[in-house]
Amino acid sequence: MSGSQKDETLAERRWLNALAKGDTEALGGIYELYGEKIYRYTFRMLGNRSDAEDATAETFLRVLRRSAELRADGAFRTWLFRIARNLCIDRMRQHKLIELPSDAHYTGTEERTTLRITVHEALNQLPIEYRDPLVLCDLEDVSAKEAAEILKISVPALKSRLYRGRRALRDRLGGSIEKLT
Amino acid sequence: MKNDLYEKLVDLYAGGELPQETMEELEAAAMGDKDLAHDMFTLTRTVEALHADPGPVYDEETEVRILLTMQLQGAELDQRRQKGVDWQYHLPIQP
Repeated sequence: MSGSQKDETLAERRWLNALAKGDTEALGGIYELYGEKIYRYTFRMLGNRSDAEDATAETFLRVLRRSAELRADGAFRTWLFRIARNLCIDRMRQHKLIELPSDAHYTGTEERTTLRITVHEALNQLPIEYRDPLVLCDLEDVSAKEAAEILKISVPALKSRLYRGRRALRDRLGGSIEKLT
Repeated sequence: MKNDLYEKLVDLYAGGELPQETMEELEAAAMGDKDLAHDMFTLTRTVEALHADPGPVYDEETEVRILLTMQLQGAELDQRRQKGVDWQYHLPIQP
């Protein structure tokens, strides 16, 4: 475990213990640790900023509502991603989000931005069972073990979905994949 | 090239999960198999494109909007964050 991971674990334990004892302001500390990660994940899943912001806020509000049950046992991060994922799935069902909405914002050159949007559009068209492992493992750099725990599947099942998902994405990208450098 | 074993090897190759020796053997095999070479090239590019994606912009504006949403729904945040949110949302008329 690296120094920063240790610091993160210690901080997580401190904030979770404080929150479980009724210190509601500890939520800010937990947000500081995981807010950006959850936002990035929800954005990848939902494809637009406003839904991602709402889903992120709701994820942390659920932490607050269930603060009495929280235990600093190392599984908190997995639980947090699971909440975020369930909220994303609910939103996708509600809105039937398929196309990339107009408020998504990207940085970089025009050419790279266009290519990235192509990847995101293709990703958003994939079934959730393929999108999940691609977002977690390939985009957010979550380990296969943790991604499997978040999705409540075995590591071999996760890897199988990941490999199929990559192939499905490649097929959707078609010729444009050869322009990606 | 249509061979399940090759397909599995290409999956591992694209993800950088093959040992060096096996990777070299697969690359050598691809020299004489256009379909295999294409499969390796396009799948590797797909994984590279995903890994290279820097992701959405998470800026102060985004953070403030999320924290404000949480506060509006009853969450108390620590003083430092509270100040950040207040700072972003001044009322139009200040004393």
